[in-house]
Amino acid sequence: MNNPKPVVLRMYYLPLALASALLAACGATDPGIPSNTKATLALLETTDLHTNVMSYDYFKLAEDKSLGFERTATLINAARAEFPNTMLLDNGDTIQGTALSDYQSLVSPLPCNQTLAMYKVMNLMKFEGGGIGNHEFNYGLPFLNQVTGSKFDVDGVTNGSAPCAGPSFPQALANVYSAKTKEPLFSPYHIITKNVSATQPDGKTVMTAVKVGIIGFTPPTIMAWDKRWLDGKVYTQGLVETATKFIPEMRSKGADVVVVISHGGLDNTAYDPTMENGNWHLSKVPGIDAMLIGHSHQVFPDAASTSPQFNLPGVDKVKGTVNGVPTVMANYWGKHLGLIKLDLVFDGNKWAVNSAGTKVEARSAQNADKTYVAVEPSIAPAVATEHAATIQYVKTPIGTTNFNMHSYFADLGEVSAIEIVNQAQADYVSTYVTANLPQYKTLPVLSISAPFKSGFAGGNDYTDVASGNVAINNAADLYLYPNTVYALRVQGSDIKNWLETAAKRFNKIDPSLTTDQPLISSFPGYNFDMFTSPDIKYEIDVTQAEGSRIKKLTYKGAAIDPAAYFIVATNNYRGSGGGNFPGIDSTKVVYASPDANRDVLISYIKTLKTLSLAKNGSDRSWNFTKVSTNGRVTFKSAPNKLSLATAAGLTNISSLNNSDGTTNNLADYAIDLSK
Amino acid sequence: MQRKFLFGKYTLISLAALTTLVVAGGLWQYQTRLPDTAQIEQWGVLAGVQDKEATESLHRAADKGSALAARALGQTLVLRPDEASVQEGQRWLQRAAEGGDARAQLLLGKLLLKGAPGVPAQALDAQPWLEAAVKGGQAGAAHYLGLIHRQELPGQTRSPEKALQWLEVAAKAGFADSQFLLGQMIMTGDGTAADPARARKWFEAAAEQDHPEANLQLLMAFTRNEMGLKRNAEAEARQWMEAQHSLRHRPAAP
Repeated sequence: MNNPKPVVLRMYYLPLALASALLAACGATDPGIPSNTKATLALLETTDLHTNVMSYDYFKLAEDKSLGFERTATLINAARAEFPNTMLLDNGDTIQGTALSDYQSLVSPLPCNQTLAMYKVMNLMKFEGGGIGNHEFNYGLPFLNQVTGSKFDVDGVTNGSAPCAGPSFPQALANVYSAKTKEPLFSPYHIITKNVSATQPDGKTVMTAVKVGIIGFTPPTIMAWDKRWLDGKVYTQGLVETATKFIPEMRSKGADVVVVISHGGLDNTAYDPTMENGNWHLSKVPGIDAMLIGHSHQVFPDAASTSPQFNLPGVDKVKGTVNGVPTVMANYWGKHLGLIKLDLVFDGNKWAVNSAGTKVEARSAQNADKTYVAVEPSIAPAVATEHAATIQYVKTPIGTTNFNMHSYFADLGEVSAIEIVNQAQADYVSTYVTANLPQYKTLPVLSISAPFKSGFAGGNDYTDVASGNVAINNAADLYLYPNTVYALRVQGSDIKNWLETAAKRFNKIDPSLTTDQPLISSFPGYNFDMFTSPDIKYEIDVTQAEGSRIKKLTYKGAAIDPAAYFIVATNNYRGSGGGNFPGIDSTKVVYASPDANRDVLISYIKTLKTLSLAKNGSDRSWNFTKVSTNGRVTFKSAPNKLSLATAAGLTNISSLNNSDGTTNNLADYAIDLSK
Repeated sequence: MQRKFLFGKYTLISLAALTTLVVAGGLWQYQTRLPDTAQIEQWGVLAGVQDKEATESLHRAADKGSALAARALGQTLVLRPDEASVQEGQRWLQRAAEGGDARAQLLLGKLLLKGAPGVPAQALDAQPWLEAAVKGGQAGAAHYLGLIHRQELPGQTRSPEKALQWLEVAAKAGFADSQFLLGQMIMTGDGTAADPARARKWFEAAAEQDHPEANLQLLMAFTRNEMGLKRNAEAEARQWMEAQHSLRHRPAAP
């Protein structure tokens, strides 16, 4: 900052003069150090940690060395030993993403006076600042307000007299505003006085201060992603507009160095204030010395990157610059540590970056020999209680079942692993429609699901949950894929077409052939959608061509009306057109829920507590149309499971052998379609 | 030059006169000129959080003939839960669309295709607006034309060939939903010969944009050795993470 020249001032100029003097005072760094004093500052970035504190997979209940902050911490220590001055900053997506985060938010909500496990270890490692990612909003604004120790002035958030426990480092977010106050939700930026060791031109080392301004951004698309929490309560502003407003303000308040912490990636399509990955455009706003980015779960710089976003014009994936601005992205789950080394020079008035000395890298927790760096030993003890409680939570029975839930004969109509999924989905959607979609509350709610594990990868690729206790980790066996519940409004004709497509699961059977005919086609099991409800009944006639196989389709005993409307609970894959079911697409979706089918299943089992074969595992909606065949109709399943078929009432199945002759742990069976 | 004037003995009077001029000028501007794009966009953002003042400002600008304000007002009103707002929003979108605003044509087409409280779904009424929007440069509208031709409608038979053509327009413009659906049609050979390699390219393009279902499709392809992908523990683990993670931030619909 230039000193104002001494001038004789008239009275009405005084306020301006005072302001200038104050600004000059703010901007002036230590006047005691000479020009050309130099300092090196390494910015260290973590991003997308997603509450992976430990190197541990809570679903497998096993160590996973490829992830976890306890190893990132070792990289942090190494960088701190290597550079005289470092500043540790987090890019966000920090407090959500593992069973540990669910435990602390939903299962056993954290008391106000305690700090989240993730923030605890970040405090321990002495983070100096952080941004806010989109996933920070996943548990809602009251939770975010609590765990960040904030005082949001937003509808629906109540504040105590003092803020709750939170991170001991400042958090910045400039582009999310309270609808109530029109003020930013968090501090848009912070100017941190960073004490650094510097080298004077005479070679002497001195301690002095550099003012580092951090400003945070999150994807404006949070408004769609967390609509249920944010709608009407907050709004977002574009990255470029926000930076253009605040960065000059930060400079005028004395920031020597401006570091952008922007949760998002790069996109060079036309700028829009609501774009998700606005950092390519953001980098062009004047006054940015470095960008810490994230969200995409990728590594930058990386000379070998094939990611389109790192091969855009203006992006140097070797050096790590975006339109000339040094930029780093440190992967996800603590797998990498981002590092931007800045060489700073003091010109007598202020510090500035000498870009010739800038170096950007993303350091992996995996060594060249594929082993991983050791854990930082102080992390595990700091979260031992939370870690143990989470493991206990994952192992805790959520209910019991009096029957073996399996998919060995699901292709043949056995429903022990499917009906409970359909019941959970239907219950969830009914509740939602009643509460939120009054215009549809008179429509019947049905649910459809498929046997995801149906032997494609061999005899072990089947759902098999023994009778007895059902734990959270069993739910992944009952509902394999990461999906969310969708509700579609469809007509009777759509249901018929839907089932016709699903029935492609079967080959066309010629009853006159005397040779063996395999029943199951290459059509994937995950697309073999079926109802499992006494209300809806149909037959599948496998002697007919595809598209003409669904017979006697009834709803509550009467032929289904092609024009009647129904609500069908399914998943996001189907609701988005997955499997290419004709006419089934996003225009039919009346509720794209944010809740995972698996979580909906877990909470349904928790509500029921006890599952019984009669109530939850035996309602078949469909049968094969009876037909006598001259030859055998065959299929494969795991060996020695015939008794399970018989127990489920499938008395028309016979075992042909105990191995199909391959190493897949499969055996051959036959079904008598005349029975 | 100015310094002399400012420090002259008529300074205060001159300043007062200047102020009057500036204020009057501002008023003149306010009464005769329309607000700029950034201002309307900002009102649109605030109207989205039910801000009364911003909604009224949009109303005033739309009344004066700003197509941009009419569109922004329509866009926010059709998202409200009550029939009266949705229907009013439809009228504003219609006004902007009739004036040739391609974005408004797309929004109106979407509204008519899907329906909303007080607005029954009328796919065939949506079609001309969507076609106009594509002509006006809104490639996202082609996605919805693809959906219309992908289904059987009263008065229009299903045409997977036309659906493919339209979806490709939107997919090439970068819309992830269109890339995914196009991949589905190509994978299953609907309206074209099944071509797993070509389907995979579209799934990968969508997955790159964090499209959850495209990520899931690639995961299933890995586990089933489909589309040229092979079982591989590391790639599958990564793909699991992507499929799960992207559920929380899907790319915006066209």
